[in-house]
Amino acid sequence: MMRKLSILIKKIFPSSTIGKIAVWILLLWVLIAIFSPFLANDKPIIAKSDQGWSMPIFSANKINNTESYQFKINPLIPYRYDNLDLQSYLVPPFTKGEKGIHLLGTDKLGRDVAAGMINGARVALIVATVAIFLSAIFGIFIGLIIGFYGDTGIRRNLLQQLTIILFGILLIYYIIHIYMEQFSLYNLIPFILLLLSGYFIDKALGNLPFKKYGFPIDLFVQRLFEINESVPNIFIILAFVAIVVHTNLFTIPLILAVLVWMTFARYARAEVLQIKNEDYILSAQASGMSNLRILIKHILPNALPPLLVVMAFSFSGVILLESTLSFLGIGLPLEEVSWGKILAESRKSSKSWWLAVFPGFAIFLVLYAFNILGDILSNYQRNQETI
Amino acid sequence: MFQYSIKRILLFIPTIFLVSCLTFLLSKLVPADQVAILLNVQGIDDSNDIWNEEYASLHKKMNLDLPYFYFSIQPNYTILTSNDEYGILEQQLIAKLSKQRYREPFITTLLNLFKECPSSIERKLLSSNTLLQISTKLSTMRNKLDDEIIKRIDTHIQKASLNKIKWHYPVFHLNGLQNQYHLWIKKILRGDFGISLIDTRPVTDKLWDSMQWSLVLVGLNIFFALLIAFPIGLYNGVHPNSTFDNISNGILFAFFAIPKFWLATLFIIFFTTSEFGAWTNIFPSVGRWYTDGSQSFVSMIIEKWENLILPVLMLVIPDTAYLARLIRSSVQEEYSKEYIKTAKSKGLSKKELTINHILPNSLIPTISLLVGSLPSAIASTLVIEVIFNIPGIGRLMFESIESSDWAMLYPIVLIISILAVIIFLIGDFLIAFLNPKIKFK
Repeated sequence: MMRKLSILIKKIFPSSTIGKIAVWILLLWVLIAIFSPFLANDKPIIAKSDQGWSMPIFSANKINNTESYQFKINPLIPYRYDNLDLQSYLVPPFTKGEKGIHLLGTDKLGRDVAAGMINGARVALIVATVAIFLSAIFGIFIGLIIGFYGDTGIRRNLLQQLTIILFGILLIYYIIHIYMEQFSLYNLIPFILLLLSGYFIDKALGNLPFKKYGFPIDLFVQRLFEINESVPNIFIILAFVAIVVHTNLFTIPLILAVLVWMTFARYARAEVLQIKNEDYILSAQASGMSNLRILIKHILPNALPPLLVVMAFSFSGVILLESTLSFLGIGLPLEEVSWGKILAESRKSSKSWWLAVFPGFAIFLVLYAFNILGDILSNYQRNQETI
Repeated sequence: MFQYSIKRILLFIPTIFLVSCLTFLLSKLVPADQVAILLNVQGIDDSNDIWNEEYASLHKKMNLDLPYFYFSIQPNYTILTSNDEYGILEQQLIAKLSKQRYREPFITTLLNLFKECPSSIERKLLSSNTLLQISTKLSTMRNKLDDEIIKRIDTHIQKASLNKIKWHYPVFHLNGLQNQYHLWIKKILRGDFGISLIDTRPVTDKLWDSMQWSLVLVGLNIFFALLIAFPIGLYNGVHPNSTFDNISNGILFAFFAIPKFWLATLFIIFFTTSEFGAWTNIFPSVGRWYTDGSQSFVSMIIEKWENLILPVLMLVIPDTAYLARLIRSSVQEEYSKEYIKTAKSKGLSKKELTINHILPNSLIPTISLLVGSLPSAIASTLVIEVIFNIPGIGRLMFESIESSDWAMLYPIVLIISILAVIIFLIGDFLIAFLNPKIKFK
């Protein structure tokens, strides 16, 4: 699969200039996000003092007397995103501040916009990656199962169906307890026991000579898709975010993933439905391969490449949602600075254009790059199909 | 087709049920005490003497003492209490302590011990969250209380901590029709959505007022977007890869990726003041739409129509980009079909071909797609409404989140979701009806 991917990347990207630009934009974004603490920080990266060489950037405590260093290398921007420069608030770009030039100006509290932008890159990367990672794994898993088995694939007699429902409820009960509480064996042991006993009871009941019916998993998940497709995401997200009291960088992507997994599941399901009827799957079934092996060895690798398009578009969707939430002032904790939040600052002080132009442009660039990427990928796949 | 419609409509019922259940669940997960908020609105706070009685009566009136759903699955350590046995504070303490896995006999004796204290101290003790809190409270009250009772409570607490429930399992209860969800949905079906926690206006009134604004915005948006997008899309579809097509496609793609809120803030900053040059003061600045209520909706719009230009423009630009690309591809698809070749060989001019054949045929999928995307059009007005202070449904939702008006928020979510599902269904039917070639299972 990795070889296939690398071939795919080599094939697609040298072909168009705009695609190359998009890849470069995204690469730059990721690099800035990863090295954000080194790019904008109030502590020097490397410094030499009387005690010898040190790297103050890694120390947790505040450093007051930077003058005591004989030699130091400062980060590109000598401010951290949450440093308040009280003397120069709301100053336009290229104004000299307390520790150095504010490249992109400051906001109402005297926070450096350039440092905020760099932190915003980090926030966007973390939120988008976590949300997409979680939803891709869960969504593709569900999509594979409902696509492969459908409403009639999992055949169980009525007794088995009852046990599945009963054990399902019990398992969900313990899962909730495991999630909500501290780790304790009083939750984990019953969970494992139930999982095992449920499996064996289901097997045993399957031998009974009763009529078997399909288990309508597809029908149920389709109802969720229907809601997800029709109800606008932002309304559902707002309804969810409203109940979370303490948000942080990881609860927001979790909430976003509650919706985004369905996109992955929907497309994965469609892919599986197509692949399922290919000759090689039928012959694998005829040769006695188990369903699980067919799913993992044959269907999954073939269903994944088309989902790259979905991934590219969901990245842009998630980043847009996150920045919309930040812009509205809902979601991320107060002390975190993101592109949407800097943009929202410009509403309070309408003459400071630098607060609106730069963060918005960053959001736009990343969205644009992902959209181009998705467009190129889907064009490439369409051409592949026609050949 | 008939079978398909019946199936879709039948499956629509469980979807709506699911939507209502999820909304109800979310509204119950809200970390706020709705009774306390409502009492605060009425001017009663918890230092007031009548607080306890008022709280209890309102709690009962809002059916909050009933179970949530037709059935409940609870851990075996949950203790079910009723209003007849215990007061509201006692019930809350029982719920908190039972969640911490203390056994029932211990909790009841603890409450009995509390009853021996003077009532002001009893209330203070009852409104604590953990046993640790209770014992620290006791240690601060040493001069007000008997030493003996403090000792008894302390030893009792120490005993209890060693004897918690460890293993637990779910217990299934059937609750019958007297449950919160049933009464809630019954009320809603009767059209009674309750009152807003902020100004105690009926939710339905506020909803209708704001819905008008959103509908006006969406209507203007779709009208102008179609008006601009159709000629562009049609031209580009008929002349693919022409210079105009390439240039406009690039621009449209960029406009499509521009976040609406960024575009709107940029326009407000640069084009509503003469700060940046003499000519930049093109649009009126953000308007104020709130009036005392004497002015009717239509007259307000007529009077201040200039203030709507900018918000509508902000909605139209990205949507035009999206629509033009959509129309272009559907025209292109239409153009490559066999009947166009026939018409061409018959000697029809390109103009006749476009107007008589391609236009109507590519209009159909576009319109039915538009109907299906109506809910997302309403959603996209949310940010614009917030930025431009337009009191539409998105703004209402945003404000109810900001001011913790849960009684307002979840009805909005429910109504929008149900409307969205219905509109989506209609859109699907429209596609199926207009294009019978589509096969359904």
